[in-house]
Amino acid sequence: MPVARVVWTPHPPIAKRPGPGRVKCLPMTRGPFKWLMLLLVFDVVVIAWLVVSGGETDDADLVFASSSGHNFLDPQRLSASNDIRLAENLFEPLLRIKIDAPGLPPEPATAAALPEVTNDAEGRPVIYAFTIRDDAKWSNGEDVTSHDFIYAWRRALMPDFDSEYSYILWKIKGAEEFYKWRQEQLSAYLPTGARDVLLTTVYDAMKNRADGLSKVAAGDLKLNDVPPLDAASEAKKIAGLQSQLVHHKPYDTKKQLAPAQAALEQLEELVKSLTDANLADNLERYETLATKAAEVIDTYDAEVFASHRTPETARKWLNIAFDRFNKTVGVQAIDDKKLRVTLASPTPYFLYLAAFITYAPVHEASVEKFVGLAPDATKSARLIQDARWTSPGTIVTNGPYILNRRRFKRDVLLTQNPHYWNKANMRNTSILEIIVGDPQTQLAMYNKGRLDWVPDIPSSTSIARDLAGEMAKGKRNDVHMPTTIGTYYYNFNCKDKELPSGHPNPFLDPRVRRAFSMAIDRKTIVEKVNGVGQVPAYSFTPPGAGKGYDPPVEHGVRFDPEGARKLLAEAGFPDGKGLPPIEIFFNSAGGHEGAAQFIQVQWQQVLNAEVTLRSQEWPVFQEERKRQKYDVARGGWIGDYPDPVTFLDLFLSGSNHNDAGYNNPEVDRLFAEASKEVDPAKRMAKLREAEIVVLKEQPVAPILYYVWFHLYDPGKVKNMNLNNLNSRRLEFVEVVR
Amino acid sequence: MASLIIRRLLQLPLILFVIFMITFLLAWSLPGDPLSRSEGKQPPIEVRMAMAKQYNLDSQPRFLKSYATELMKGSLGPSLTYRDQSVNDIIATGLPTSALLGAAALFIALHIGLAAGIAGALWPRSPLDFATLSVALVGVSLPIFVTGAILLALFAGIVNLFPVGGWGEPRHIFLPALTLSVIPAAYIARLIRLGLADVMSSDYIRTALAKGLSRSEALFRHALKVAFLPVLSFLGPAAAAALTGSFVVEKLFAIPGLGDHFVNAVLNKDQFLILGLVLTYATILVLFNLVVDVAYAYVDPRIELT
Repeated sequence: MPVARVVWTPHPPIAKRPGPGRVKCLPMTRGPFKWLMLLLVFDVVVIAWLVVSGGETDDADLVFASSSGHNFLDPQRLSASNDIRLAENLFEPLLRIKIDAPGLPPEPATAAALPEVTNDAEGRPVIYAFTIRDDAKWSNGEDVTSHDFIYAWRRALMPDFDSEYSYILWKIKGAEEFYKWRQEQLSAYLPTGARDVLLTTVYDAMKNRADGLSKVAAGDLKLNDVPPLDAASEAKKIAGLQSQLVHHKPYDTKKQLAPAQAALEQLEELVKSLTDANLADNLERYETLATKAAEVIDTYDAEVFASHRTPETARKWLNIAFDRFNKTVGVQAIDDKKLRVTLASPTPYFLYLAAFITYAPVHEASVEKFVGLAPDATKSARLIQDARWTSPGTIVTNGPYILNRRRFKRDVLLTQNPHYWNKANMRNTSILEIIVGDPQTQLAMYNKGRLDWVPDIPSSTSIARDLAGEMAKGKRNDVHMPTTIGTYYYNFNCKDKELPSGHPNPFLDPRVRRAFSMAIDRKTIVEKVNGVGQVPAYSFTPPGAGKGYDPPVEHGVRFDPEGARKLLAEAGFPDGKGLPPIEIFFNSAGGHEGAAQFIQVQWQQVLNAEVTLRSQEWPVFQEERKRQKYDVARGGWIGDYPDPVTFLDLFLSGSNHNDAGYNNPEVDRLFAEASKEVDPAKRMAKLREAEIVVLKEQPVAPILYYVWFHLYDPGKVKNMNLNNLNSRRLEFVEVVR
Repeated sequence: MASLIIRRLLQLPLILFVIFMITFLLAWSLPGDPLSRSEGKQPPIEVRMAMAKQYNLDSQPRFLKSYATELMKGSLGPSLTYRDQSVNDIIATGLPTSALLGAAALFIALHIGLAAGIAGALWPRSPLDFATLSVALVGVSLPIFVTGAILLALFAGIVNLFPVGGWGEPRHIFLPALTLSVIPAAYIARLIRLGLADVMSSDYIRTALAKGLSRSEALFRHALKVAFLPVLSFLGPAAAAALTGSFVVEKLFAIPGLGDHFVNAVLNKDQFLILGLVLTYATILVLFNLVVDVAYAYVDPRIELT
């Protein structure tokens, strides 16, 4: 509101009007009425002009909508599914997935043929020899070489470029180690974090736990409310400092760091040995050692800071890193067209990884113009990159298309790459992607014929349900719902002795988990609640998630109210007596309420359990689920590649996606054995055994297999070949208008 | 007057600083991890730690320090959601779009609001007056997504006059601008109608009428200026809001504006984008209020600005 002082003058000035006055009392004065009419005519003219001005032109062969704008077109940095969908048309990896063949086999793309696989010295099939086709060209006409691939993969493995899909290359020998090494090298460049880690981070974690425990002893707190102390991960932080110091060895001429190193080693041992019982006694000893170590590092830091942190040093550190990459990571250019990849361990699905966008090459010369050391070389040895290398006119691509136009949050136009080796077989020469956030608007544009293909309507929306309903009644034929390799499931809290509500956790008993799972009628959920053609799930790994893998559905849990009650009684809860109140936890915007309400009613009716619902926004939901702050939580998983490993590694005790907090040494063992197994059939058998254990114990209750939801007129859009990997080859799609 | 403007402009950095600090604290207290992905496989913890370090998200003092240095250079930092765009890029592409749409909406709102309000005041208790007041009441009451959906279904669906969504041609602007204008138009119409009714019954208008002015002359010449003052103070914040975009309208009509970011930046805990947007919005708001205050003095000379 404006801050103004109103000063009143007694009489407002009145304009003097010449001539004799005459008071008009007409209800409709003609003057202003005329003006209003004129205004109206003006409006009509403007609106009419807007209506007739410029029509919408179909400026591409294939037009489709994307729900969100693009974060990256850089193949090594992108991760969002719509970024992948677009970048796949610009950059072509060695292999791609042949989507019009049964089993979706990988086929050669930039490579001339599938790679030759040979054994290493230990007899493991881990060496892949790729040959790049002679006619593979960049959009500027230059040859695609094996060096382009190595350059691109090195980018993905440099933490400098914050590549989220970096880990998809970690199957390559030495790749993971290189990533972590470079990260340590970067932190070591300026080890100012030492004091924080030693005196704040680790110390506070210990102190909080110790204080909490003393309050528990005094009866002021419950054990469940005290933050747990993860001694192993705290010790890791200290170990991290130690390895940072190693990078300084060449500069530590006076051996100043030796005492700090020794103190850190002692600290690491000390922290590793911490238990609730000795925690309070060790606090003081920790503080003394940590202060000493931090002081030494600080002094060293101040002394050598000025002497060795210049752009030249940063460059030198970078060259050490590149050198290390060449020596330790299993990728080698035999010549310009031959590439040899050595894996860390046998990985039968590596060909699918090699077909993934992160493995695509980039054109070194055009990217390198936008890469440089961080401007402040006294503080950081990091390489940074200007994302503008992916702008139209600058970006050089090797896929079927080039980037013609990109307008942020508006649209992207791709046109044919004149140098693409398989140009002759392309069925269209341009693709227009329009960014439309609202599914309802996407549908309206599709109905008006503005869009040929709508791939982004979430199958959990009511729009999808209505369209699927019309499809089922035969009213339309343009809804496509291919199955996916994705599973929708409920996690049971398998970790904590107490539920967040303070009651003892009944789900620690596999019989209770099985009973709850048996009380879910999956068929009704799929048919009546969701209604978009999903399939009830009786295994965690969906069908088609790996050649030669037969999901053990016969061991899956089926709807069996009687059996559920019996099992629950066996576990000590006859007729639900003694069960704590159970809360179903799900994320709010995602269409999960329907299924949750249905399951709530079933558990109440079948098991006589008291069940409530709780929803949270995604970021909060995800955090709490990760820390097992729930009784039962909804989960969903879509496989990255067609192999059961991408599903089953969720149940490993060390997995960072093990939201159920499940820990079974037998599963870990079977999994480890499978990963060493060279014979594919035996490997699959081991994995199947692991899944059988998981299904018997039901740390999660699989509910359904997801479907994708696409909208396009099959009479108009040809050769789409939808498949369960949601893999696309847009260059082969033909639109008849 | 000049001293007022200078003083206000000098206050601006202080206001921005306070707003910045509050936003900073709120943004950091948001739950969630901006570097985690919304669905599916999360990058390993090593990758996320490396990213947090790179963006100074692991230490608040370091973040503040680097943000301040960057701000001095005129940079609002990178966006954590659209990581190949800087916050400057996002604002530079979104703001003109939103501003154009907002200006069009304000123009329509003023146009409809003034016309309806004046017509109502000229012919009070006529069917025209009754009609405009009821339409205004409905306009204020309907949520914007309902208005937008109805307009979309009417003029892009049933009667195929306008495109469903998109941006770039003049015809794209009409439906979203109209949607955005409904609430301010209704508001302005009511302010003007009631203000005029008030002023028209005041003594000096009676004097003017007695002196022989026609009702419409008295209205346009004397009453309108005074009745316009409440509209003016409404316009300041309304203009700032309209120019920086609307989440609902931009989403419904697929417009590449700024409004969408205000909501999504918070949902994604994109600290850089949140701070950048809030700073931009606050600057615009303060400046518009200043403009409104200055305009006050011109419209009504009885008001002295000190």
